[in-house]
Amino acid sequence: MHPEIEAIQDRVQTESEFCRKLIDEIGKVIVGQTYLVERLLIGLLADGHLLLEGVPGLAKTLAVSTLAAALQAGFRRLQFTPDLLPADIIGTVIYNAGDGTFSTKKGPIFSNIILADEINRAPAKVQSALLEAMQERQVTISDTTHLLPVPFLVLATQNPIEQEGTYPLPEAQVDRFMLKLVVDYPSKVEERKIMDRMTVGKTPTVKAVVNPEDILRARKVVTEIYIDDKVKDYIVDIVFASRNPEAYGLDIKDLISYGASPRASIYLNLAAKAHAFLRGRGFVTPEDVKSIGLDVLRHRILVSYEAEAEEITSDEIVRRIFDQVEVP
Amino acid sequence: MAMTVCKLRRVELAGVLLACILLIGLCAPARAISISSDLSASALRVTDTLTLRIVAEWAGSEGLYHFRTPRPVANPHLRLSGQRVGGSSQLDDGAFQSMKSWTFSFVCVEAGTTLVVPPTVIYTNTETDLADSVAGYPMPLTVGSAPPPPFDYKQAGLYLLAFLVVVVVGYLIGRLVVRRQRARRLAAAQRSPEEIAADLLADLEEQKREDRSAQFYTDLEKIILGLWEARLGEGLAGKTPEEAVRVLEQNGVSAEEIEHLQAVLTECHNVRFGGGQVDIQTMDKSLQTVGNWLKPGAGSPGI
Repeated sequence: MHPEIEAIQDRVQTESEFCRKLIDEIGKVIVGQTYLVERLLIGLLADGHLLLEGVPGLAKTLAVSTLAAALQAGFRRLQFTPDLLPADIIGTVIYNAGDGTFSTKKGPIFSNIILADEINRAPAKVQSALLEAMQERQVTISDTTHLLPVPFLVLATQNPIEQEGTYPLPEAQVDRFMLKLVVDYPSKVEERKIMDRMTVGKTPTVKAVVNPEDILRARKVVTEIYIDDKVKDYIVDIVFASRNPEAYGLDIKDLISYGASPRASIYLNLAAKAHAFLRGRGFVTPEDVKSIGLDVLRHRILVSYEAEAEEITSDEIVRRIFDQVEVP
Repeated sequence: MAMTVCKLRRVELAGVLLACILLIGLCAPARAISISSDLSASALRVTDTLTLRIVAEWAGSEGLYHFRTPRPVANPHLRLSGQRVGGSSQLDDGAFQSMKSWTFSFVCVEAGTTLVVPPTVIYTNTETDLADSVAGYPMPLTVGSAPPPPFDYKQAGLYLLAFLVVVVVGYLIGRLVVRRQRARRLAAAQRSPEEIAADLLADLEEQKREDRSAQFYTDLEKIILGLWEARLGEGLAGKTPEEAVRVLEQNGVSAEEIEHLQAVLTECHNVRFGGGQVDIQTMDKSLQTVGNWLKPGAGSPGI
């Protein structure tokens, strides 16, 4: 290995120590869901927001709140409802009748970890306010701009089966989430463990084992992780295959309305680095890209009416792309 | 009206001239020598032979007339191929009767219709020293296109024989190639995946170079995945180590073997994607480790 990359690898192994502690701590509450927990850490390390989708009861909210509890960081949960207003999230200026002055009341968004529960239940203007804050990392209340705390991570959940009374997120706003995670049911063994753990009358608790400085240091190392030109080309090929599938021998052009945006390339790169970090590696391999690819691309590829008619999802399209594009 | 008169006068003048010529001809004295000419045919084809014969006959001795050898008139349809001169004299009832002949042979060279003009015969009476000449009348000749060449059975037979020889030799060569390929396939099929992998490793050993570390480990990974593809009958090319391991697990491969495969693939990826350049000793070690693993009954040494 190249000496510089070897040095990065050493730093990765040092700085990723906390990940093990964090995973162990979360594991005290969450049974299984390795995929979900790992992706939460990737979001944390790559400084990217996450959208979680899954039927109710799969511990999405519990996983996020447990992660927040294991970090010595602020955590706020926002339950999105149809009557929610932007000011309920970002804050507002209130008039103090006693001294006749105005003071700013910061909203719950001023926290390190935000759980935006059932984000698609709030109307567009509220979603928009949150998503703008996610992108800009700052909020303007009245005439004053307030920076959001660092680290700042939004974990939004949405329920796929409750279509009544929901406001689907526009594509441009969904694109701002680095990963979209589809949370699945636990296995039989995990289900049994969940049942045992949650029926003893005592809810397990976690203690804060990581502080925000650890996260920030780790983020710096993540950005330094080496990514070879071959892997970079592989990422670009994957993204281009979603835009021009015929050039890669894929017969899925009719199934795609819009391919992945350049954000996909950026987030594939960052998320792959974070994945390599979790594996204790100082460099990215195609395996990192493949592992994280589905979560980065599934909400960035818009399927056509033909695909919907044939019940072909974007997940299926992404899998076909990864199967077809040659791994370096 | 003036034009019509003019034309009539010209026609009348031409008629008068023609009449005069005929009258002079009739009034001319009869010749003592008779000259005739004839063609062997009036219609021929290109490459056929034509004969033009001119005969002069007279009463008197052979030496009474001296003839200048006639020269044939050039004709683009004919090519002179030979000429012959003949003559005779015989005594009949106390008087000599003589003749002289010229035979010209031509080959028809060009198709078309033409007039063959006999050469003018010029002669001198040796007694009176008077010379005279006789021009023959042009004779029509039609030359047709060359007939198709006759079928050459001998040449056709040779061609047929050559064709048959080529076919038979081609068939024999093809059969030989097919047999060899089948034999090779059989030999390859009889070789175990480990033997094939060992051969490929031997080839790879010759290509090891420090500046080609990444390519070396790319090839090594291909060999290992190819070996497992052959063993499992399932495609592994393009799979990441984790995916390959999953396939092995699904096929019930032992944990030891899986661990070894994972170690090899990890080693390969470390060099290929870690911007690495390893020394020859490391490459040797990798080759040796994989080589030992391929030996029958060998355990999983790992790298």
